[in-house]
Amino acid sequence: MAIKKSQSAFKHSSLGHVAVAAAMLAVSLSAHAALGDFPLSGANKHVMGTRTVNPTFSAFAQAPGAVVAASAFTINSVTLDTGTTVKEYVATATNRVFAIVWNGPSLPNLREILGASFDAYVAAPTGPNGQHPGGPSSRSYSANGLVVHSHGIPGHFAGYAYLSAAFPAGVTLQTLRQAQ
Amino acid sequence: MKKTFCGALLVALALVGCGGGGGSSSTGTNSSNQSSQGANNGAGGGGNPASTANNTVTVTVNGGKYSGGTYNVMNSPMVSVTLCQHNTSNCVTIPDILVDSGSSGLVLNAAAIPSSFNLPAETVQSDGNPIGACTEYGGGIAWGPMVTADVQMAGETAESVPVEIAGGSSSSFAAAPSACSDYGTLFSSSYSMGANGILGIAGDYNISYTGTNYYDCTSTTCGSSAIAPDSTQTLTGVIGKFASDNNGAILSFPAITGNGAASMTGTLTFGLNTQSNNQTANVPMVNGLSNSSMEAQYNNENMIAILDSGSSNEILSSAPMSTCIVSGYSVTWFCPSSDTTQNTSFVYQGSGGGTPLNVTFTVGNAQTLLTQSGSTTNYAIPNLAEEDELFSSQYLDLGMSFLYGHTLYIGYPLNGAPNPTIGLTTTGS
Repeated sequence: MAIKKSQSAFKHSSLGHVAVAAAMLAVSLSAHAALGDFPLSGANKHVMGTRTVNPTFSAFAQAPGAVVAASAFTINSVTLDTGTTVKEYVATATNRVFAIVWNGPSLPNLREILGASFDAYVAAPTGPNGQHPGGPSSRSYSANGLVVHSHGIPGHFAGYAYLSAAFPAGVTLQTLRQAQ
Repeated sequence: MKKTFCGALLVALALVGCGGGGGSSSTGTNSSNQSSQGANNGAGGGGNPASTANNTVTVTVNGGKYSGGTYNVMNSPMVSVTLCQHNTSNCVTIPDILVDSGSSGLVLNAAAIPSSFNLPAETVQSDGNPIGACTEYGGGIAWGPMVTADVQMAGETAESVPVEIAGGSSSSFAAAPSACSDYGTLFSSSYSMGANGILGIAGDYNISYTGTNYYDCTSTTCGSSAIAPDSTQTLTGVIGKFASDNNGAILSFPAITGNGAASMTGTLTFGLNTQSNNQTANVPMVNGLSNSSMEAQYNNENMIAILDSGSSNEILSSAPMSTCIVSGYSVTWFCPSSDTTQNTSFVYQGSGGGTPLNVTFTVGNAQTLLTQSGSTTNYAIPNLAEEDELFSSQYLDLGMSFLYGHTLYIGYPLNGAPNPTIGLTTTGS
């Protein structure tokens, strides 16, 4: 899907020329907005809104190293026009997305949010050992430090993906699970 | 089309919310606790004429010996479906169609249909072009033309059912537009679908259940934007179009003895309270959301529970059990040192929610289950659960490995109601 100038960016702006400039800048960035690259922005026509926060950690899950981890990444929460949400975990040092999760009534555009990892995911064989987890409701890929998992049923889709090598120092899957 | 609906669905979900619950300590069936929802299902016992049609088919889990498959799939419940050209005896029977309680509509794989058997295309009413359908599943995308067929199972016939023929980007139909193919893996063959087709039994007429977008296609290309065909041309639940026994479905399996079996057979029964074999008087039913999903509590959190025969195993976001990697599988499994019992409760928060339905499920050690002696020929394996590593879903997905030993009741919505009712019992109780 070609990324076009965001209609929503204009719609929500009272300063048309500023919106044009912002959209043009964002178009150049959003062409590379994906896992392993820049975060998604309003330049994507399907993005209805974004909110970037520094992570906080639930008290019960407070773990050694959490304070360090909190400054190591931000969470870019994106709401798509389908109602599906995408959370991008963005490394502070590089401004690159190293993990994503999605959740909502429709699948997100996986080519857009997985970026260069999309082709590997869709082309992956579904089972090397003579049998594999059957059924149309889930698909997984794990190789060369890339993990992608999509599952769910119409109306309730979810999934996640991450690049192991791109995690900031001290940040683990458990860190992300505890981050809010 | 899809986008508008999905926004509406999200709003609806937000309004019904979650929370509350708890309740009795019974597990699975609760014969003394018939809910009002159960009584509302379908024809009820109140004197409607009973159907005499044969209303049950055998469901087999045996690895799915589907066309073109080069390996077998575990925990895939399969049935045979007969397709006929409308009002003729020109029919074909397609085996190994996966019964999916998580979706609606019949999607067949082109590779499984004899090339000599043709079905008329559903066409765009304004220009006569064929309609291409893009149906989303969690594990991929079915892309192909919509056709019309009479569909027969057991003694039941559904006439002129819109059916999708998934063929990916085969030469016989236009390639999927990027608005379809960018969303996941195309089920371009039986190999990637893992079956000769998918029979969604979750709903009857509500097309919004299907997660399908439609396109105006020539033989070589399709429009880039989705269209809205007439509602008589879109995917619909086959069972809901049967002449009788059309108000629900029952999917039932016996329990597996031990850690697995080479094959298991269950039943798919059509209708609720229309014949002696589909009575629900003693079945606790809760109001569901779309596609066999419902509000639930698990680990003291509110979430959506999905009872999905299209998932081979359970998928849990947060569970206090150790995990492991099993060679050959690209997921993270739960591997508790011994079978671990988990409790959940299905609780509907809207009006008339009825009594929460408490359910117990067991998580076994996946390493043991998948590598035990005989595991390479065991295609029916219970108690398998994988971890949602980043807690993406807040869903509790109870799949086929849970459904052994259980009977799932789906009552189709009546009188324009949006959602089904769901019941669950321990088989034989």
